[in-house]
Amino acid sequence: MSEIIMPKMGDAMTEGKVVRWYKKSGEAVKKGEPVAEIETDKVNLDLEAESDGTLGELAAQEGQVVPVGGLLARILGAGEKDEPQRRATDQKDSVKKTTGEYAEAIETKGPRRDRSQPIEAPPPPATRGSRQRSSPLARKMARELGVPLESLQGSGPQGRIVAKDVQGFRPVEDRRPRLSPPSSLESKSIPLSAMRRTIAKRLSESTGPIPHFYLTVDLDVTSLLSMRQQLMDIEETKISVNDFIVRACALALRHHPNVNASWGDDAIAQHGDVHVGIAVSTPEGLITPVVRNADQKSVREIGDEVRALADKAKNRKLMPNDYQGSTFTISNLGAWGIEEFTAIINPPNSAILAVGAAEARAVVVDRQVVIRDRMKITMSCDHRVIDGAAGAEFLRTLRQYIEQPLRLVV
Amino acid sequence: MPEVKEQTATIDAAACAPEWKEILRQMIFIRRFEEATEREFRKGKIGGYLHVYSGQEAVASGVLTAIRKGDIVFSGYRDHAHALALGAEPRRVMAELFGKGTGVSKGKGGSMHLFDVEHGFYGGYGIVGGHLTLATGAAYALRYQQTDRIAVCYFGDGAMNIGSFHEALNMAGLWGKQGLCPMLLIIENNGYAMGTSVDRHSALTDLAARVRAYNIPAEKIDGQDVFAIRGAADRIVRQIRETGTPYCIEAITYRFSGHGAADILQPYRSKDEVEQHKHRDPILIMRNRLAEMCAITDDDVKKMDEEANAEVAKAVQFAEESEQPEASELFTDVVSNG
Amino acid sequence: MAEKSYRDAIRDAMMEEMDRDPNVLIMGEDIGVYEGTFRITAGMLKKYGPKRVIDTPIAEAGMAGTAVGMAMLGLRPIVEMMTMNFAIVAADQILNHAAKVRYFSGGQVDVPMVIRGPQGAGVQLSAQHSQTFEAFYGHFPGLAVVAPATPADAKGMLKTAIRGKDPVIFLESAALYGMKGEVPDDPDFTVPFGKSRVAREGSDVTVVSYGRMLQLSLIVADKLSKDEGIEAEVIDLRSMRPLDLDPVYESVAKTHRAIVVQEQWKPFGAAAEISASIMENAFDDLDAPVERVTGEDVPMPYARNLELLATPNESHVAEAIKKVMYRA
Repeated sequence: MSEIIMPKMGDAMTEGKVVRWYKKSGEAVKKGEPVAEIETDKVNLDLEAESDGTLGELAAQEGQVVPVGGLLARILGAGEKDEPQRRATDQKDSVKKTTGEYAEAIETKGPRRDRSQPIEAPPPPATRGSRQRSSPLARKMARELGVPLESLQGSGPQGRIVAKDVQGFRPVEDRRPRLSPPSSLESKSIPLSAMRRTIAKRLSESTGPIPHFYLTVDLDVTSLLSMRQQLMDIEETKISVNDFIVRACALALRHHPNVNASWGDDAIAQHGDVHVGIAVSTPEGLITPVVRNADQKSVREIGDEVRALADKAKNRKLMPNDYQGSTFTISNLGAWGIEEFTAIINPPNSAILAVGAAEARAVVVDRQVVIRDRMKITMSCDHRVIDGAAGAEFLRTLRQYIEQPLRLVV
Repeated sequence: MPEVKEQTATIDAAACAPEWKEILRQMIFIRRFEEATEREFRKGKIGGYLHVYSGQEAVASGVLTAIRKGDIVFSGYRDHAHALALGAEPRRVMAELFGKGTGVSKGKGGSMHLFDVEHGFYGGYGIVGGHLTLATGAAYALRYQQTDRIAVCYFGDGAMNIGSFHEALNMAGLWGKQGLCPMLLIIENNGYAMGTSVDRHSALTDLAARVRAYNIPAEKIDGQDVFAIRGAADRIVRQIRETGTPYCIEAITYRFSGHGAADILQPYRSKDEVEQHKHRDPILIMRNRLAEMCAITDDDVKKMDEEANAEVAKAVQFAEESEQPEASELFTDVVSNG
Repeated sequence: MAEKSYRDAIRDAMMEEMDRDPNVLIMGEDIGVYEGTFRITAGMLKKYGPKRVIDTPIAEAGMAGTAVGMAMLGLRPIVEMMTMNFAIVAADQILNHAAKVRYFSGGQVDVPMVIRGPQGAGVQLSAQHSQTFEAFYGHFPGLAVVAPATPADAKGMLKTAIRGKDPVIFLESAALYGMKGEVPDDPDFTVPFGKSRVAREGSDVTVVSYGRMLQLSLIVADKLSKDEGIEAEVIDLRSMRPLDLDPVYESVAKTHRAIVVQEQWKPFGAAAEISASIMENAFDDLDAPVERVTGEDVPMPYARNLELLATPNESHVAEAIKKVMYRA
């Protein structure tokens, strides 16, 4: 018995077509006799019988495409029977078998290490609307520090956010990430709780009518001074640092109604408006003209008003209306070079802010020693109305306004 | 397959030495082996290229039975006959062609890159004329190491036109002057460089003359007459071994199959021409002479045929049953491990 | 330890190895009687004789190919290519034979040979005589490819090459032949392949280079340190194949930015491979894309001014460093 198979005629040939059979099933064939014509990618040719015998069943019909190695027919010797089933293809030659083993080879090979980080859930896309470019390192840092990329300005080419942009935004100390716009205030009467009465009584016994305590912070005013300078260049007017502080305090008070308040025998009165008194020194002594609704006035307006009031004060032209009704007071001895001091609360206020001189100092930022403009402020608080934490929270808000003076604009 | 014997005294072409029968047996085996590879290629068992030696057997057997164990041989890609003549196991050669891990080159070379260093076969190369420099350097090494081993380098007529042929032969001739190049060059001049005849590819068709230009002696010998080849080889091999100078045999031969398995139509030569040359089949020539000299009968030859076919069938079966190389073998032998 | 020139270090390596192992020999054009066009082989013919110091005809394919044959039979040939440009004609012997014979024989032969010679530009030798080949050879598995930048490395790595079992492309630089450096005396001093070294420590930027460009990088690093307070970490790869980039990744984890300096054309050059690898393995550490400093994509011109324009210089390297640092 011999087999007639579709032969591989070219290196790349994978299949061929049976064009026609010269012999019929059951016919006798001689060795070397052409039995069928096949068509391959390169050439048509005749297939010859490899032995004498009888042509068995035709496994492929005329026009049929058969893969290389596929059976076309058998040539049967004397007394032999045709096997109806096709010859099984040799599994060991199957190319498919190897592809599954490839992954195995990679495992066993060893030396090629996958050094890349495991692919975690991707961080929220940096693109919001327009394409925001950022270096992989910057993105990693931003993620770790909880700094949203959208809030950063990129200094790299095409606005790429790079590491130093993220670093520049890194908080020096703990601060609230966002400061929402202050809400407007309303007049309220907060009835005294038993606890509150007790605190008031006991503290007054130890200190006097108003139990004071003091909170000091050292503020970075580099940006503030820079902004002031820019404004003075543009406006060609004089603006004083204190003008900014007045507005900053006024806005901060809107966030903390409990500081914009007064002690009463039965209740603590939270005021609906913010009126800031400015301590002014006159030959006769200290007086505090008031900037009414300071929170609604711009820095320049505040400045103009303060100077006008100071003038009036020096010329003894102040009316009671001018110096009564403050809800908070600021005293600034910076012009005298005072570094820090404590002021005495101006009743019925519950607090007063003592502002020291702004000067360049060596400080530690990011564990490096740098030169920054700094200013110390000390807040005196009426412990009957304001507890330590409340005072600290107010100062934290105030710090945001003073250290990031752009907030005063909006 | 007969073992490669220690070189004994040369055998007399006129006498009926037992070696001649062994040579006939070898040549018949090579022919049956090559025929089988062609069949297996058509079935899709052998991939890539397949260049068979059918018709040129005397050029391999005639020379390679004249050398000694320890001598080394280089060939081009038509290399099955050389590997087998040197004693490579037929089943491992077939397995290599089938791309199995049990092949002589672990399945990583294929038909063109058979290697069997243990039997002195140093490859099996796919670049026409690329290996002549290697053989030249190897021959130098054999003398440098003060051995009397020689190198044999087979190549086709087509290999004589490429640059490295020229560089190799010049260096061989140069080193030969100092006795430092014991190399036997064999030109397998089968009349065609693939599909281009000698007179269409070589400015000077006298190929032996081209070799002499490098101060290397060269003789033309009838490559279909194994007696002529073996006789010349005996003499020349001894001379090379003694002097360390190279020598060339231009063997005029013919291949019955196409250049490779894909060369079916063979448009460069007529069917008649091929038929004519089949009258000068080296196996036929040897059979007839041995019938005269040694009273070998048709039955004797039939028996050799059957034994050859049986052994070839076993080789095919071994190749079929062997596994492909382990996937990890992909990454071995790129460079040494030490 | 002794102070030696790069040239002398190479000669010492070869002679010590030839003393140590009788199978080591050297061949090349005009290396014997002429004593070598760069005087590397001066005195060797006299000492070892013509069988071991072979003057070859001008036949690079012949030289490379016969070396393969010698190596397969157990010798350890060194082939001196007068310049590596001339080895292009031997490409088939090197890439199709030397690099592959072990593999397609299934591991039956070793090919312990070294092809060494100078590469690179700088003295108006024009297009055909000014090329570098680390990318060309580095692409092929089966070869080792090295480019020592100091005399000590030249000696140690050449010994490793000679003693090894694989074909080695040993890329020297004519510009470095006169360079002096400390070289250990120990005849068994070898430098392994596949180990980069930190040539200069720093924390601002990673500079990766090899061969002649490494020396350029070090000069720039010194200048930037003095003039601008920039501290560059310079890494000498030494070996292209096998390539050791672990020290580069560690450096980038520290500096977050890298440049690669190579002499020749940008497309498909060595810097492309290194840059891609840094991207793959140190992606999250990068604050800037890896910058490649390369020669211009033209054949090397003859005129001195054009030749200088075509090759990387100090300002190219400095600019690249500042670019990845986002500094003016």
